[in-house]
Amino acid sequence: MEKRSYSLRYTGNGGDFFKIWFVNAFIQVITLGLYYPWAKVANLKYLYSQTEWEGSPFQFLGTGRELFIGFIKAILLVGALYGAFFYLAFLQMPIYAFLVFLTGFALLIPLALHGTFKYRMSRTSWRGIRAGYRGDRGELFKLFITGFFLTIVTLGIYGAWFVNDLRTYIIGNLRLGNSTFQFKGKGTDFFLVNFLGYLLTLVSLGIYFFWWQKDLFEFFVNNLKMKYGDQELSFKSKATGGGFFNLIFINLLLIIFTLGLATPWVVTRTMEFVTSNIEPTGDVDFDALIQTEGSYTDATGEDMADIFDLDIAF
Amino acid sequence: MKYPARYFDGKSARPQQVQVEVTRQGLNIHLEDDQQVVFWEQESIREVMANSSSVNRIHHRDGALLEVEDPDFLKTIRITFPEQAGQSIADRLSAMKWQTMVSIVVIVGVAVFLLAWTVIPWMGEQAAGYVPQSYEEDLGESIYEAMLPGMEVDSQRTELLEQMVSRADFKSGYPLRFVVVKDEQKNAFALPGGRIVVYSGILEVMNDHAELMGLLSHEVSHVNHRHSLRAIFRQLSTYLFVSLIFNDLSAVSSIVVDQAQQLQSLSYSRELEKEADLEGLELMIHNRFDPMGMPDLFKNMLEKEDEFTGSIPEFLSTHPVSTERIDYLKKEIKRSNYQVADHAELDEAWEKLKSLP
Repeated sequence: MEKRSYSLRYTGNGGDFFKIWFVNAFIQVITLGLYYPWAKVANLKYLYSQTEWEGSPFQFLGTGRELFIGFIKAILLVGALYGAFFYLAFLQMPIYAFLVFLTGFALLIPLALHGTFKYRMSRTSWRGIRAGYRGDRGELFKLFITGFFLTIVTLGIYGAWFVNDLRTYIIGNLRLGNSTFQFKGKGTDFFLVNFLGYLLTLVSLGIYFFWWQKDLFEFFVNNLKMKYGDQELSFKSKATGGGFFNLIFINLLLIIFTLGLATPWVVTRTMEFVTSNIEPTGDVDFDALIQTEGSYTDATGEDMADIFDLDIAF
Repeated sequence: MKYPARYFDGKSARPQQVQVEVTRQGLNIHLEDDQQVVFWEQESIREVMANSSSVNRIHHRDGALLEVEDPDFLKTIRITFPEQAGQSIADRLSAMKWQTMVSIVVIVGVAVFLLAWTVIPWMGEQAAGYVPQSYEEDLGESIYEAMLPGMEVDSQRTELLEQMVSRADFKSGYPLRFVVVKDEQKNAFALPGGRIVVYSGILEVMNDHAELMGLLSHEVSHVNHRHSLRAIFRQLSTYLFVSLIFNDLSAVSSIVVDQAQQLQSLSYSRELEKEADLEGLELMIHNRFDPMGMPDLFKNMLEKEDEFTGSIPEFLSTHPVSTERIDYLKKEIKRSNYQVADHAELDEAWEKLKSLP
């Protein structure tokens, strides 16, 4: 098949999203946060349904009930960790308390990561075909613990390789039906992008920050591949530093001057920016995708990631 | 009636052109290429994503998907399968007009606000009654220990004060402990569990032992009736409620710490102050002290306030004294039948206390 480009669009608008977002945030407030899982589902459903690939939108299949059960489990897990910490602190053993807390965190984060991807992917579908994450919990664990350790030992320098390894592993295990994904970015490149970005941002008194973001976006997007048999789909970033400046600066102003009420417009601008700055080309025949992934309804990981405020970007 | 639609069978992503027919039992999907009919029973419909301006999507629980553009189709299935095609409360609210939405939000918002400032603090105050006394004493003790480094205890005056109060019966179930602190501030406060701290500055305002006993009776009444715990619980419950609403539980712990530090300047509500005044007055009468000591002290304080404008006695900022307060105390004293005994030892101790450098 001939190489061609594909369409990726965000069709939502701020006003529609605001109504959904606001009503759900409001119910969440008057139920003292108990409505949070349902609010999250409502927001995700809207965002997914407005993101179109080849003219067909994605669908979020998750339910408030699943997220609520996961939320309770996650609270119990995190609560047990905090409980152990305070108990040891109470027994005047601050060093043990600290160690237990740190180890607990180091163990719970990969668990949250694994759970998030497993749940979120299985609850994502396109034209009725489910996505999936086939990573192995043990392997992610090993990857995480080694990387975590090396990052501490090297005073953070290894962090770039650590995060890149995690990303490569996770993306390498993502699927949409019987198609697979691949991330080809190198840890060294990721390090250099961040190192130079950081230095130049300092030197330029912050101005380079937007170009740093552009470089990062390029690194993520350009190294992403989708494979279907011997067919391949690549992505190319069209984003510019000026574009990032426009996105981030205006978003910041919107949030500050509306005390957060403009969040739906900020999300809309961001989604539009991301989708319109990714150029997919390749020869994958999407009509030929076949359902291969099962359902996975345990949302504990996803909720745990929310509790930890882990920012998991897709 | 048949509606043209695009159909994805949930096995592959290949679209098929179909005709959909709505029946009471479910949907009949007529595939075009081979004369087959797929049947979706009503219960198997997972979700209806309505979009009146473009494509409506109907999702089967096994993953299959129908895309229908005809807006009539949506109306038909909403009538035929109200359960599956219905909307949640949130959906309905989101679909409302702006004006309705805003008025609902305002009404509920006001209700929640009223709840936060009336019912919740009341509940907090009730909860304070269930705290065991031993815990209250521990709490007071740890607050006192935290405050100690910042205070210079006047041991001579403290000894004299302890001597004086040993002659009084404050009818308290708490282990009362009094301490005088060297400080210019004209202030005194009670910690939960029985610690009462008197600043040396306030002693200078007093003329006789009765005024001192008036102050102590008032503070002891705060202790006896758990006023500080009630005030803390009142404020805490509101904070807790508000942070729950805004999903910011981490703020609560810092508030607890904050409160503990601000106990010195904790102000009680009007009712609690009045209760401490009246109960304190009763203690004065019970001990045959001159009950006029209490209103006299307050009057001295008020005069001090007039004397040096700009430097209000600190006691007044946490125990707002008004002429009204002095009036009701005087009225109460007039109404009650009391006797004042001669307290020679107290006078002696008081003179010693005053004469100390």
